[in-house]
Amino acid sequence: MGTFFQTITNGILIGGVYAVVATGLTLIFGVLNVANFAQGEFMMLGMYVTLFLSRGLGVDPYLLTFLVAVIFIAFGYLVEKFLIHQTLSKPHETQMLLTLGLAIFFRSLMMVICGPNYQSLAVPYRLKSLLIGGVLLSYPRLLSFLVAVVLIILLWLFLNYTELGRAIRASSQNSKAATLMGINSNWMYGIAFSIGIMLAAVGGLTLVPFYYVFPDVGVYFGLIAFVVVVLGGLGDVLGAIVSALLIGIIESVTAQYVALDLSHLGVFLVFILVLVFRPQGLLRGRRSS
Amino acid sequence: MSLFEVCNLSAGYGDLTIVWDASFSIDDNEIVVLLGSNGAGKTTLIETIVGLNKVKSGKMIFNGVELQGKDAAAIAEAGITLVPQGRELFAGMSVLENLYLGSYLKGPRSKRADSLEFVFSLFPKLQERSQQKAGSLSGGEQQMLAIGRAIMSDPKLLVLDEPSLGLAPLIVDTVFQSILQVRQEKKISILLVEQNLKKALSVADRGYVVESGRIVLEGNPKELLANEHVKKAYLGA
Ligand SMILES: Nc1ncnc2c1ncn2[C@@H]1O[C@H](COP(=O)(O)OP(=O)(O)O)[C@@H](O)[C@H]1O
Ligand SMILES: [Mg+2]
Repeated sequence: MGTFFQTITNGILIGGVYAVVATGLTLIFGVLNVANFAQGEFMMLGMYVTLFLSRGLGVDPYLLTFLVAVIFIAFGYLVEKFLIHQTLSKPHETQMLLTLGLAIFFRSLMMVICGPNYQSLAVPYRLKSLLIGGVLLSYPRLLSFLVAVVLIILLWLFLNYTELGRAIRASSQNSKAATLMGINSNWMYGIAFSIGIMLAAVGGLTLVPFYYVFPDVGVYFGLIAFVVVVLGGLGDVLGAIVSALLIGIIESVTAQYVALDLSHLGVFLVFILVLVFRPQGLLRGRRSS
Repeated sequence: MSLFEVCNLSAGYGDLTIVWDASFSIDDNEIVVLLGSNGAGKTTLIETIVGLNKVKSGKMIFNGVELQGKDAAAIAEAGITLVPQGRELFAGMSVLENLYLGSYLKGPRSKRADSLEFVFSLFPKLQERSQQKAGSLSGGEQQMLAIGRAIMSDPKLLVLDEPSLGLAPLIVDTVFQSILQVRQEKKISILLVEQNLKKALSVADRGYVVESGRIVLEGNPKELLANEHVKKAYLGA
């Protein structure tokens, strides 16, 4: 029984990171109608930037959250304005190729700059953990989860209780009507994309104290983000959060009870089953939408 | 000069021209109706007016300011608001949020509380259902919400694209009644697009008839109802 709770807890803790990265993806998809295949690579860039800043400044990575968020909001805004935006009126293949191209570019760039080596950051609490009710909570994983939760709550408040957030949701639901309300869609595209990228990067930041950093680290996370978004229902933020936790749990349960190296298989098996039996997403239809 | 003046406007999609050389005007506090059968180009014309389609040639002058070439946000800001065909609500958001979005722009936002009060007095149903999702309303209520949302933006010119489409006759009466009430109390002008000719002319001050993308007739309701061509083509006489 102890192992079981431990397994579920591990799943939920990593699920927080998935939720952050995937929420960014679903936000971008909802507002721009663009599938960002570089989401995982933006996460990877977030990890490298965190690593360098943390080493350079000698500051704990979690204390860099705000700084990294600001850097990637600016970066995301520029990428949207100068690249993504130019393709929005073009067919979907164009945007797909652009984001895929960006993904490959970022991976190669980091390969050139840093080489293929796995890098890690030594934080003093790396191996410390908290024991609660027989369940071990590793410090870095717990901190990562807390940052994720705070970020998602802030995003939730922003989307639901500010004029700008409401405008973003409106653009996501009906862009034509949003335009008619005087909402500047170009502005919404820029904001949604930069927030989406910021979420990817900060998701990456939270991993740095307990995960290796290398140029291809974003590939799996990007893929997971897509799985999460499809399971949650495209463009649905709450759905993404729920399915991210679910994916984390499935992964962890498969790793514990089936085989460690089959954890990805469990995730994709569930993914395929859902695609076949509930293509609208797990939560769609259960809530009135 | 009229509040809104459209001169020789042509518009369409890509290389395709749908509306040819349209000219019409709307005065202060006037209700003008644009009549025409399905596919005549009415929606194309008014979506051009609110900046959703590009103007190919011609001018639109509102309150003395030229609007051709401006985008939809700028035109909304100038005070022209469209209640689009098919309503285009934010279906997953509450009635109240839909109304708030109507007053997204700075000017209307400062009058939000008053506008909301007016909309609720016009459509008490919306107040009852303010926390409900827009998508869960009946067709008539959705139309009321679409109109209410447009009123929230405190327009000088309210444009309605076939507000009676798909509604039961009794609801249609309510909707037309509310249009008259808005004109009366808000002292604004209204451009109404309709296929329902008799109904529309019963509330309008003037009307234009659109056929194949051209404005072919203009007159007050009496003149239009007496017109031989109108009788033959639209009244089945
Ligand atoms: N997005 C579009 N692209 C190309 N043609 C269109 C589009 N929308 C409408 N049309 C065409 O424009 C013509 C006029 O349509 P519309 O303006 O909707 O007429 P109405 O509102 O009077 O029924 C129709 O022939 C229609 O097929
Ligand atoms: Mg139409």
